[in-house]
Amino acid sequence: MKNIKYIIILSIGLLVFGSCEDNVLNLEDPGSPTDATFFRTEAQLEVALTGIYEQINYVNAVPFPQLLDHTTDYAFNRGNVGGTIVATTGGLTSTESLVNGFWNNFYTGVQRANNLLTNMDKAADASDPNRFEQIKAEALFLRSLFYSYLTELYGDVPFRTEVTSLEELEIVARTPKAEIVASIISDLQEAAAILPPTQPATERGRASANAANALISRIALYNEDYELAESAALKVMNSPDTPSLYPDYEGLFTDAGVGSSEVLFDLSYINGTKTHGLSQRQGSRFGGWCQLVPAQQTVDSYETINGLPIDEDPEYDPANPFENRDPRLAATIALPNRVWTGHIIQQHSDSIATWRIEDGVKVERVFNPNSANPAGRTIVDPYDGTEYVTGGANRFTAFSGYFWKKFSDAPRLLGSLSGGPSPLQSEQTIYLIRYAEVLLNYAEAKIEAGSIDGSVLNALNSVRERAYANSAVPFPAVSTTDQAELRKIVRRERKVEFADEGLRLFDIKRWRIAEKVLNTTLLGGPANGFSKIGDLGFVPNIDDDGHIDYTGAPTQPRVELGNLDYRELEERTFDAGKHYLWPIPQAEIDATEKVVTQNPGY
Amino acid sequence: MKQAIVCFLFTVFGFSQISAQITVSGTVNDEQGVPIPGVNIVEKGTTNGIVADFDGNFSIEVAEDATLVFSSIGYGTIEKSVNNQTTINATMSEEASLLDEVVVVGYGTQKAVNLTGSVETVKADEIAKQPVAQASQALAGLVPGLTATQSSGQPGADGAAIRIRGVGTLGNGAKNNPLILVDGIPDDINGLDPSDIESISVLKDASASAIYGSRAANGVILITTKRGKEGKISTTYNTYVGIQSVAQNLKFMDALGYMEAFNSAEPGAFSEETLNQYRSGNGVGTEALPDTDWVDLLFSSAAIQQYHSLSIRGGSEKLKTASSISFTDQEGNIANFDFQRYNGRFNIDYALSKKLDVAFDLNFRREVKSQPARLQNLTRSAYRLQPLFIAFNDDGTYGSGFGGSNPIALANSSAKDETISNYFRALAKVTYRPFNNFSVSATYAPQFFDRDRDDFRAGYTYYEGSGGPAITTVGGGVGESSLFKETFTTFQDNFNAVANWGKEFGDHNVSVLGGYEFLKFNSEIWTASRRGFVLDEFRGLDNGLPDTQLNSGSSTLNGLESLFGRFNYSYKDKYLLEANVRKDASSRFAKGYRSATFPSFSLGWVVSEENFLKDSETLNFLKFRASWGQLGNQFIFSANQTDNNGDTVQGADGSAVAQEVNFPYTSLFGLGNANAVIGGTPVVGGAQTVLANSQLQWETGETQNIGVDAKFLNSRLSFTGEYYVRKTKDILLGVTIPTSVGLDAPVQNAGEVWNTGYDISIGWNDMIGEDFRYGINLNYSGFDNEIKDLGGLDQLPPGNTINKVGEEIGAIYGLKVEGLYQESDFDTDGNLNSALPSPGFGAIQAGDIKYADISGPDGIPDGAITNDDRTIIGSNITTENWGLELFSAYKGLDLSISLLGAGGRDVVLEGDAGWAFYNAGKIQEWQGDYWTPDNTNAEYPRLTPGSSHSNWRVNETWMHDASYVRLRNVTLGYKLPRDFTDKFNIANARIYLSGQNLATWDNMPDGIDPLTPQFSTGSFYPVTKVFTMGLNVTF
Repeated sequence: MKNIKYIIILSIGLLVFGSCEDNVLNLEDPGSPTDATFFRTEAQLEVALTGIYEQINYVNAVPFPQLLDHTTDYAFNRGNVGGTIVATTGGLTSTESLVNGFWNNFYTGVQRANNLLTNMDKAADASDPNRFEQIKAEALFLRSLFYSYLTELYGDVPFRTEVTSLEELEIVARTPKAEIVASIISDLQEAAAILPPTQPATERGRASANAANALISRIALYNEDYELAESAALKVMNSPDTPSLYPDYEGLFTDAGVGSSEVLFDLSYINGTKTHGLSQRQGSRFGGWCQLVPAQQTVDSYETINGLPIDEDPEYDPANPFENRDPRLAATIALPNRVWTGHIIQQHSDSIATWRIEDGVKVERVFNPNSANPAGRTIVDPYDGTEYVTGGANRFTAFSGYFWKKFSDAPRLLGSLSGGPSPLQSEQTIYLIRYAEVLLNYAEAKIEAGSIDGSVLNALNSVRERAYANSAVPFPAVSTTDQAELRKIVRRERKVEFADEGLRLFDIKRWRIAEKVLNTTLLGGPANGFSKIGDLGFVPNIDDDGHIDYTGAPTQPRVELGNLDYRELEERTFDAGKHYLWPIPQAEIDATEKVVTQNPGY
Repeated sequence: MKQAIVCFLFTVFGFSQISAQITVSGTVNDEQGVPIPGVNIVEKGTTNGIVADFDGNFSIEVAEDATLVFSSIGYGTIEKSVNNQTTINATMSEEASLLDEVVVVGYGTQKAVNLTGSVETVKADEIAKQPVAQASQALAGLVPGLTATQSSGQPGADGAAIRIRGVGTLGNGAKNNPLILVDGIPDDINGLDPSDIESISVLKDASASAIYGSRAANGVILITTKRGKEGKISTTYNTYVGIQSVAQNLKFMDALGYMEAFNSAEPGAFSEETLNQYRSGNGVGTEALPDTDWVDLLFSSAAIQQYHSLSIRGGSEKLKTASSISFTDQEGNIANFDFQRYNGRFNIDYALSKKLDVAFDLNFRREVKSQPARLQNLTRSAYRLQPLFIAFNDDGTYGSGFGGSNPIALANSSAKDETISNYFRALAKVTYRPFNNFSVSATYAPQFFDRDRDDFRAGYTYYEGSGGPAITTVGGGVGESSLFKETFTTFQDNFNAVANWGKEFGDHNVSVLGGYEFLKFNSEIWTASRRGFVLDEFRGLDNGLPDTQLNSGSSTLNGLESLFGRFNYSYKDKYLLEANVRKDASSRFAKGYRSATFPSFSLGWVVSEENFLKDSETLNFLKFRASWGQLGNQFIFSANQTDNNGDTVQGADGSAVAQEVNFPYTSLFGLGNANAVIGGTPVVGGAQTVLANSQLQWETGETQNIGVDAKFLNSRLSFTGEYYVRKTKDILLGVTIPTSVGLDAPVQNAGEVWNTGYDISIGWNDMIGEDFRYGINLNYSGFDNEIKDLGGLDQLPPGNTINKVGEEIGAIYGLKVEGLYQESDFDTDGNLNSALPSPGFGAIQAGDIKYADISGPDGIPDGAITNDDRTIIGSNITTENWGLELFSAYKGLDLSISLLGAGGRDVVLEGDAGWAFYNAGKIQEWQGDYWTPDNTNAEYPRLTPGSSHSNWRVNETWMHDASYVRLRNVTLGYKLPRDFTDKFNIANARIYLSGQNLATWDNMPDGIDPLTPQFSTGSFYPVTKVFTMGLNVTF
């Protein structure tokens, strides 16, 4: 049977080839460790810690604080960047990407923190004990920060503090907000005890004791624990490394202010790691898309130099609305006829051309893509007689007549016009917590607690003083000690000091004024130009909550030509019965089979 | 053969002849003009005969009025009358006789009559006659149960997505891709030169494909390439040249129509004065009164397509070769879109001894696909820009478009996004036959592929009006000029060894096959980029600013090891039995969950072999067959692959390339996937992103198939019908975990989907007289798709589509529409009548869409329109497909027409493709029937400009029935007469005219192709029609 011999030889041959299991089946991912092999050294803990920092830097086209501000009365989100229009027009539902985005990103951050905090003990022996403790404190700080946003946006949320696996997957119901707040404040206090008061420049962006205490004061204020808000703020104010207010308010929000001691916690960007598109989205047509633009209501919120709302100051001149105003107006918002991003900003239909400015000197007449022209009109530039034919592109410009300067990275906008990097990849640093907030937290906490004293006025006035630091005008000091009057002032102060910084949504909610200020028609400036704004001559009424009432104002939807009325940008809707909280994402409710319940009204 | 010659020689000399004899000589060729050696030529009615020589030449002495009968194994027998001619050339068709037809099956071949599983074949000439660059396109409409859907006309991305018996599983669409093997090794159908294809077998049921186990759940396509045959060396040159144009494209209103409609959205936006200027017609289309047809301007290039293929095939007993080289070039209708392919193949067969054969194959190709910018910046821009923006100034220079964004200038700019693919595959196969009836073969095939992308974004210059200032944009409107390079490299290592034994024992026929296989796949990707190129014309990475350099990279791998076997038994070729089994082990699963066994069984009964039917004149063949088997699916995909720009990586069929997950069973901690900036410097961060499932296993597919094959009336009429139930169980499905866990959900084995359907094909082939041949083939397939289980859940979290138990996969999920709100629905203050459900998606007014309140949080209508009112409104699955092919030939002329059709799918159009004035966009002609106070009975809601509106929720208004009938191909060919070709030593020459996608009949809005991608927002390249003229010559 020689055939059998062959079969045996061939079978052996197959078996030789057949023993490839190690080569073919027992494979490991060449790029990634598994949780069984990770968290073993200090360097590995640092990698995991950095992964948590990445998550607090949530960018949805623009950084998340700016996205939140565009769900408030500050501004119009013309391009529906980040999908906020549903939030301002009453269409918020449990499946909106806006609702899911914040939830998913912050819970991802929570998970990363839990993963590190649960597993880091494995590296205890292989780490420097001091650094080991600090890593833990930084992780606690970040987890608290995630939960502070989650509780403010959604109310009671599932409170997860442990890492989980599929085998031990737990369905976690909602924990009352107060319990979560108590827990994260205790975590923050623990972190503040471990962390240095400030971080050196080489570690900018890391949590510090001052940042932790500032965050405690914020959370306490949001939750009406005025005593804690005051004491935590005081810890920052009396810190061995006391922060100071940066002397130039406008410069603070440019590269000049980055790294200043006023900034207690910031979000940094470098191309290749992470960038944001705020510059492009907020920028004027000179480089940007002007999709996120401040409303008339915001412009009218700034006081006059006499420290009065515009409707209370007889010196306010509606024909020259931008004169004699709190310097923060012009520092925060690019105003008509003023220079910004190297050009005179003009949006009325006669300004088919404008000036390019270098070092304060008019150097060149340029086509002005900001003018509000329809197609097919021939317009003669009154300056040099050049004839321009409008292309129709320009009906879709800022609408409101204003642009945000804050964080808009003007050098990049201007540079992009001449071949520089795109404003879609801005590296402008964004601030999450700064010292001015601590001062105003302190003042507000004491005002609300009724313990008004000189320190309250000092805190308020130091913020106001800095606002006027670069103007020739003396700042209007606050001297009243009347609680109601001070409450009005501190609320007004927060609105203008922190415009476009992501605090407003939580302020109007805790002050319970959202149904007033968000149930309005959002307005832009007159369509046909500020050169004739005096003809409008309208002064709105501002009430005790800072709500601005335009009853009787001439308004119209945006139209082609010759219209001096305020532009109606958006009909806003806010239902106090439900909109004080965002809905819990439907996916969470479905996945927990309704163990996680929905907020009322959704 | 020797015996036959002896026999014929004997007969020639054994009989004396009576009538007048003449000597007739000639050559026997196949249809390609290649001589056929060894053909038997017999004088009809006598035993006088001869055998043609090696070059197909013969010479025979016969009676003047004799008829010659030509026959040879593998060719249809033909007859020729002598009629005093002394030269008779014969062309024999490779029409294998019924009993001898051999079909390629897994790891071998099988006689068609003995098949018990569901196998369909496509012949080489069915593919070769269609002038397409991507072979997948040629499969459309040919095979019942196989759909090949071409949804893009972009050169290099216009291949078809292939599905066999529908969509069978949940998750990323790529999980439904069939396994495609070229000469037994996994490969890409679209890389092939269609002229190299010898045959295609489509294995549809579990019985046929179970031998491929865990990769075969979606069916298997086996492609065999042409090999050298013993005989004269023949040289073939195939060429065609064609011109393409877009089959249908979005039609927008002109400037006047746009402005009039816009005034309906925003009264007074355009003044009467402006409108009157346009109405007068004077100067319309100039800078003063722009009227730009962006779509027409963008798709304005004459897209020439050409193809050249040269092949030499032939050989001796010891050495046979087939060598071919080809070049394909396809331009786009948008300027600077281009696709080129160079392909070479060398298949060599050595017969080293009677017991030992060796095959060496080499195949290489290079593909170059280029475009000036991504579709989003071109087609979507053209679909958005208003006619009032200027593409060209009056002096011919580029205009400013939308604030400097001018897609026409961009398409014609020096920006270039080029992807070059290089592919190389070697295959060595040794076959050893130590004794009769037994053979063992081993195949080793390493395969290398790389894809290099070189994306340079440069600007263009436009002018603010004639003579106006020149403005140079940078980087195609996205910033500075930049170069982005990406290299993706894969290596596939494939080995298999197969032993075959077969024997006849009287009426019993038994064969056994056993084999071993391993497959290992590595891939690596890395990218590098720089920005800020000072000199745009020099495009090396080094020329960009050094401080802008970025790079990234990762690699992964997976492996599969298998044992398999097949047993065939037949009794008198009448009762057939087949069993297959494969045991696969995959590196994708944890030890202990790694391997699985996939069996299949099938039975056949050839009724026509039974005595009571054997002599039937009308019924020539009848077979019943039934099969059952299990298959697996080991593929897990996360999101689709994206490049550094965040764009989805596109395959040759235009669809997204899915990212495989190779280590789903372990908690991987990614490094560099969560970097942050600390202290102003980038710091490497890492994070786990997916929850692991250590108990993951295979998806199992289970198919039951019954079929009948029949031939009637001298086999002129053929029929095949099949009914199947295809169940996919243990579907690898994302577990629904609370989102508060903060990790992506792992996959788990849950879920079950059934496809129940039937495939039918009917063919009629006949001759009228000696010269007119004609035929008609019709195939039809239909199926029902139903989700049976979702791991205990009633439905998965819905988006625009929903997976719900009892419903189809991915059903369109949206709001039902009751009509439009009318002014009578509001009181004088503009408040909605309180009896009507309150709208939940923002403020509404008359003319807006009135959604139906069909549900609430508790499942009953709650008086409010919310997300709870969403329901299934349409289907995302094409459940009915048919193809019709007609052909006829008269003497040298041949004509074929193919049509295909599909039904069951709906398409939702969104964004620029669906909504008028969306995000500063324009308005299509079909959108013209919008609501106004004077047109309250309109089909579409009132016009609203903006980026978000409650009318733009997913709802029935924007959904369209995507059923269609398409005239896929018409080809008219002419074979040059022999007298003519002989003069030039040409064996065969045919010229033809062909048209593809010539007409489509459908219910879509005017200008929108029914194959437009689902939820399309306008970034697509419409399907093209092609007119081609071609030539095939064989020497």
